[in-house]
Amino acid sequence: MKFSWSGAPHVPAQTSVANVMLQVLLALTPGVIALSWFFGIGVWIQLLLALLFAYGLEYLMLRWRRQPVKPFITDYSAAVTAMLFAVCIPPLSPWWASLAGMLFAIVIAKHLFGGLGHNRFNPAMVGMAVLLISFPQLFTHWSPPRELAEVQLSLSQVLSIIFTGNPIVTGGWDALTLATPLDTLRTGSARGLLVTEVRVAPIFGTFGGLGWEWVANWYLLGGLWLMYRGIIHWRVPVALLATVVLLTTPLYLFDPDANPLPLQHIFSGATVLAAFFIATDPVSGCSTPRGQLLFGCGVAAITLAIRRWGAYPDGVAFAILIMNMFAPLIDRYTRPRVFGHSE
Amino acid sequence: MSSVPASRTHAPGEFLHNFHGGLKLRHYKRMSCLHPVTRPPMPEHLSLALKQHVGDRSIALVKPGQQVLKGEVLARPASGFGALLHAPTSGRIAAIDEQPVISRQHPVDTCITLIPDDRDEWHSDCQRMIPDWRQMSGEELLKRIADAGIVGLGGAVFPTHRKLKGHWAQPIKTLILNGAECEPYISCDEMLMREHPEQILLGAQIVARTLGTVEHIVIALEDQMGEVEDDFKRAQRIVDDPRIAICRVRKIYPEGGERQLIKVLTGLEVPSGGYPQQLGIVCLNVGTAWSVKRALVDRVPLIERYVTVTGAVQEPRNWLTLLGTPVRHLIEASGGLQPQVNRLVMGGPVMGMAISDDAISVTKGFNCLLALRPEQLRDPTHSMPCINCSECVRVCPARLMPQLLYHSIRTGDIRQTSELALFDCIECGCCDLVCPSHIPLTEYFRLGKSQLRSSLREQQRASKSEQRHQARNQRLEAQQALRAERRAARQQAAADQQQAQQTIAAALARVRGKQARGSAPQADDSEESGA
Repeated sequence: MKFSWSGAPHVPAQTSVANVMLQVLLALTPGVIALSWFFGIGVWIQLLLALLFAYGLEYLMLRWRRQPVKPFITDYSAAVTAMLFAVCIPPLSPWWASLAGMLFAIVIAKHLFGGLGHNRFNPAMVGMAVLLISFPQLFTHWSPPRELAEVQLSLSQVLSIIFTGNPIVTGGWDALTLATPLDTLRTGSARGLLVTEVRVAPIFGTFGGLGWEWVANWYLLGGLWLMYRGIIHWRVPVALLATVVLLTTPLYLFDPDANPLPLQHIFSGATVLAAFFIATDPVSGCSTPRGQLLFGCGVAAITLAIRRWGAYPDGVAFAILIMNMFAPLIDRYTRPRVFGHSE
Repeated sequence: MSSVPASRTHAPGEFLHNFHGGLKLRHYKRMSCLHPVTRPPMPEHLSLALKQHVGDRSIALVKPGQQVLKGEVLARPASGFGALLHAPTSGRIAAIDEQPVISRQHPVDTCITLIPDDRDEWHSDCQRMIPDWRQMSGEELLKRIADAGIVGLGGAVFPTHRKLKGHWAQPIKTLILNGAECEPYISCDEMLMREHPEQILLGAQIVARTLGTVEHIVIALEDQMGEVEDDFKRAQRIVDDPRIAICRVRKIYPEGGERQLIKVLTGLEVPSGGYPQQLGIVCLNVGTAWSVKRALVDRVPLIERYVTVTGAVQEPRNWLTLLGTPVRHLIEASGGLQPQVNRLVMGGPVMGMAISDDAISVTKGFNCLLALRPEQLRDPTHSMPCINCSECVRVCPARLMPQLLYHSIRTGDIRQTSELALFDCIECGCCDLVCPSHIPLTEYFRLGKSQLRSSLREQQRASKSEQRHQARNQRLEAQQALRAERRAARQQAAADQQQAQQTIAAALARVRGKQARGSAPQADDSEESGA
């Protein structure tokens, strides 16, 4: 009797790309729910728009590149990109912001570089960076957290703002938006105020931004769950967060008036999101153990530098992209010692 | 991390170290451990592959039609490197021809077909009295181990006498008996250890005597083999050898790999491309030790071994199986296959070799026959691009970068492949099992190794021919130089001669001139023109 032949191993792998991506999506969900709780229904609409554009473009690109559509459409990687992008842009951004972001993320950063697994840069962050550079005013339109909102918007109002781009309420954008904690801190210190004076503003919470700190907590929870599931490893998040604390604590202790509390850095902006969900992107990150530590440290250091000296309130997107450039080099010089080889 | 330096104060096995990576795999061993081990009924024919060892090809010493007795030598290696093959039972040689065998490179090889006569009559060599092994010298023991055709039964089938012989920089102080059978489903070593712990220890003592300088005999078991440990403890009391230590190691695949086990027990890493003997360590499978005992005490050469028949068969169990028993016969003895089985594997599910034909027979390295149903198999045709998740880096026990190796093999970057130390890959398959993109990494690495080997051969050939070319150039240059020298010498000689002639002529002319001044001056002119 004849039997089938194949090389070992004969048993299947324990996981799949779709499974990995799906768990990342699940882990992001609590953070997204918290975000929409504090910043309104616009968050969901941005998410839907990003998903729609991401999958539309993904499909077109797969067809154009003559790739099998089904396995790649069902791997959820476009959904992860769309979700990471959607939670980074202001909830009342116009619809074309998502389109432009996904165009650069999916078409240019992903497919023109060779599709899944071949993107040198994190697609969502490429989309973000393009918008940050080209349309910086978009990011001044962050909604206030629900406690500070002057106007409660209905769904139809939100839709109309997103699709027309007009702040339809009396008072215009000023009534709808509020500077984010990091913005407030920037402009405050630019005016020569002390951190303690700036922090009196209602936008600040216990240690981060009001609302923001809770969103960060939920991201943290999702991230820890991913770690527990073995989808991400401790090195990048721990290195990133530890570097933030290590770099900011001495400054804070030295001069608490000019430098914010280290926890403020962690719980505002996209630090936690970056630590667990963006800097851990395997494709554009490092793969050696020591390399992952360096990658996390690098992202943290560059983010802090941009927050302190740069022209943008939060530098996560740029920090990630800059470290993406270095990832192959870091990997090259941090290869582990092979078993039985001398150092 | 795992690169803790070995502490000199601990005896091997006293302090357990970690190795990098590895995986926790489900066992599936219990199902084949329910019955005591017996021999299956005698098959109608035995098919014995000539070469069942690492080393040179063997030549058959028998002819078709010849009657042979149990234990008679059927084949020996063409040169010194290899192992003898003995008749597992008495009978008639029916044929010596090409039959399917288990091998990646050569799917068919020369096999001796033996029809048993059911008398099971021993050859006289196996009945002769031999002295007690405690009285024999190491040389003598080695010779008898070689005569018994013993090879490593853990799967490597390296001739045991070769492993025990040789001069190493360090004296061999540690003998490790590997009973950590880490791959799922396989239970032949566990059953052997349960049933014959005392004989295994005896075999270990014989091997230790052969080596001469052994101070520690470590029996390595898996963590969950508590019962086996008790059996060994009991046997240890009978054997009463203070050198013996029984040690349970953490169950993480592939801790039963020789290099991983040595690392766990001693903290030492066998150098890349080197041997455990360089560290003063010899590592033997428990089955090999048992065969040594059988050869030196019971005078039985290696003609049978424990074989697990498991997976999707009706009654999974272990058999004490004669070499040459067809796989089909073992399946029938185990109640037949479950429906729909479409894969037979020699070995375990992770490292085992697929068998495409159930006419293939048991060889010395055949530890387990595993039957798998289609739903248990991986689909090798469908894989996604690598997403650089580095799970493979995390689990690789050789601390390689499998994802980079995969890229370099795919792009044919031979230099990068060898720089990433492909030859240190032990093909354990851990990377395959964690790859979310379902890339057949281990298959790529086998391909890469063969590419690398042929490119190395190519390089050697190229460097040889370059050497030849340079040698030729040098030879030609030397010849040319020699020729030029000769020419110069000849020219010099000619010039010298000419000068000498001129000198002579001048001298003559002077003489003549003197004479002419004395007689007739015109005679001088005529003499000059005639010269």
